[in-house]
Amino acid sequence: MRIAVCLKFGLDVDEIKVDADTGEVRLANVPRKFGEYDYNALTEAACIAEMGEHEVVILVFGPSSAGAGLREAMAMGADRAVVIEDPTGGFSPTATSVEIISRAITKLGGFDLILCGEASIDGASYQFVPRLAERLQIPHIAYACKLSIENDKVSVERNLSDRTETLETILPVVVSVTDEINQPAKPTLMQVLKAKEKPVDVWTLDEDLGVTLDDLSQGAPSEQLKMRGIQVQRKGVMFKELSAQDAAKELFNILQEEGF
Amino acid sequence: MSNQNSPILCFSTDVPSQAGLLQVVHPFAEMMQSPLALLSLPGVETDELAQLGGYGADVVYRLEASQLEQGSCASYIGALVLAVKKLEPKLVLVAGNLQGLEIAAQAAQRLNAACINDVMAVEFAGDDLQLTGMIFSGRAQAKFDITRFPVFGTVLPTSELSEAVSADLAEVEDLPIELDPPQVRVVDVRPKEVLDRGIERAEKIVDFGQGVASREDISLIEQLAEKLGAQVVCSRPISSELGWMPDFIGLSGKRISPKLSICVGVSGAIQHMIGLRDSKIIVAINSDPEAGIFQQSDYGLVGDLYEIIPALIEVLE
Repeated sequence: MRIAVCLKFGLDVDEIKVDADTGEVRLANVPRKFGEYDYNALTEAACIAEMGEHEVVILVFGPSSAGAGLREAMAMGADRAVVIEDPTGGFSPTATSVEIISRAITKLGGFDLILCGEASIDGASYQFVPRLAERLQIPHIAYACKLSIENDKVSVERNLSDRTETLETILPVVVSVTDEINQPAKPTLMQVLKAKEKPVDVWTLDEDLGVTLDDLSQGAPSEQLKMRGIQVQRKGVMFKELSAQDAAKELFNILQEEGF
Repeated sequence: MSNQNSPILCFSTDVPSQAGLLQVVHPFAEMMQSPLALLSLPGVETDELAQLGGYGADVVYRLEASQLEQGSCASYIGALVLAVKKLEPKLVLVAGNLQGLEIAAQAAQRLNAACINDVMAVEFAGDDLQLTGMIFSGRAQAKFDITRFPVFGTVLPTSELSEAVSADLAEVEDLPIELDPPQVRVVDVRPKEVLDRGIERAEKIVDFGQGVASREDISLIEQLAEKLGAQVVCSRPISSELGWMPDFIGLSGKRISPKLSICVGVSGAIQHMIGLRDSKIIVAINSDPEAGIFQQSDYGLVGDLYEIIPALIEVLE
């Protein structure tokens, strides 16, 4: 079985600063990382792969800096990674990422199981997986908290707000996973060292996929205009180095003053 | 610009939230001067659907499909796309529960449409329709110029239903469609007992995160909440990963706007704070002075919650 894991090297959104007066969103120099759910997907792939010597390939469409974050990810159980460079430096819209990842998947010969986190760490639109499945014309199951595969039968359990469901389908499939599915562990030093020998291929859009961003943005159904930060102005009053008793009294006074 | 009379179509996989969905979408329909249509799952009484006129629905289309497998997102996506092709709405707004997020996105992909999450505003700039939605996990919002129709969006239904906006009943029509059997089958459904803890109505909450080290320690939080007459809520890992609470506050959880939020052992990550950033007053208790939550609160106490909370409980006696 060939397993692909799609990871997103996304912005650490908590590090995005918003200008209190203008609402300007400062994106320059915001650090990037793979998301929590990405690691769940990777761990799940590694777990499944171990059971039958299956191949695990990491796919990333993003800034070239993703390469740096990849070594640890590779060490968690991937055999190979393909990083497709995003000329926008990681700011392409989801529909574009879907198109590019799907072309990469086709070029790589397709996969039986494509695993992703339920949502990316920055966009968190939850659109990537259903869009990717549609684009590849294969089924998808989202929000898996349990996944089992027997021959080509796929069984997933998921927790929704009002129910737990068991869903079934057959391979090939795209599955998104939640934090409930497993506990990712930091790779051992041995795993990190072994990962150094594993290939990381860097692709560019025009050379490796024969497409440009302009091609892809032709006939786009929407265009993002301006963005503005959402910031609720708070008093930001802080009390440090108070004893617990003094802190409690301070809070009591605050609650009284605020009318609670 | 296309037909002025093309409706806004809204849809929820959760029938009880249909009124709350209409209440949120109705102002958009008014702004666009468009009729407002609800697409309903099958199995709902005509009278019940007609009453949704009170929340602004002009017409309710009740799906009728022998192959519509109840609860199957794969079926719902197919049904929504067929309904959109028949009804030709300009804008399709789907209730943004977990199922809704995937349904809206896949339907949009199938129709080569945009899908805007957390639609906050709908407006015209000349002839152009523009939607404002949240981006970056709610850290920012962006305006999108829509160049192809229909456009999809997700919104959260309100749980605070207000007075009816209309005395008129909605027209109810059955919408028969032919669906193929879905490739993903629902083989088991175990309903959860959803306790309505009244979180959305709570005026005061005590919110806790991973600063609380063990399940037993929650009793400390509960004692504090009791003294304050507050509800207890938590961040996602507490509920989702650890299973210590039945629900959580955040981007993919509940969003509330109480008068008072006391956040205990919560770091301040946006995915969580988006769930309560509209609180009137936020108080944070955290042992890390660098924790991001302090920039997002009105009052912050740096210290050990295991010392401050008992002291606070005592003072409140």
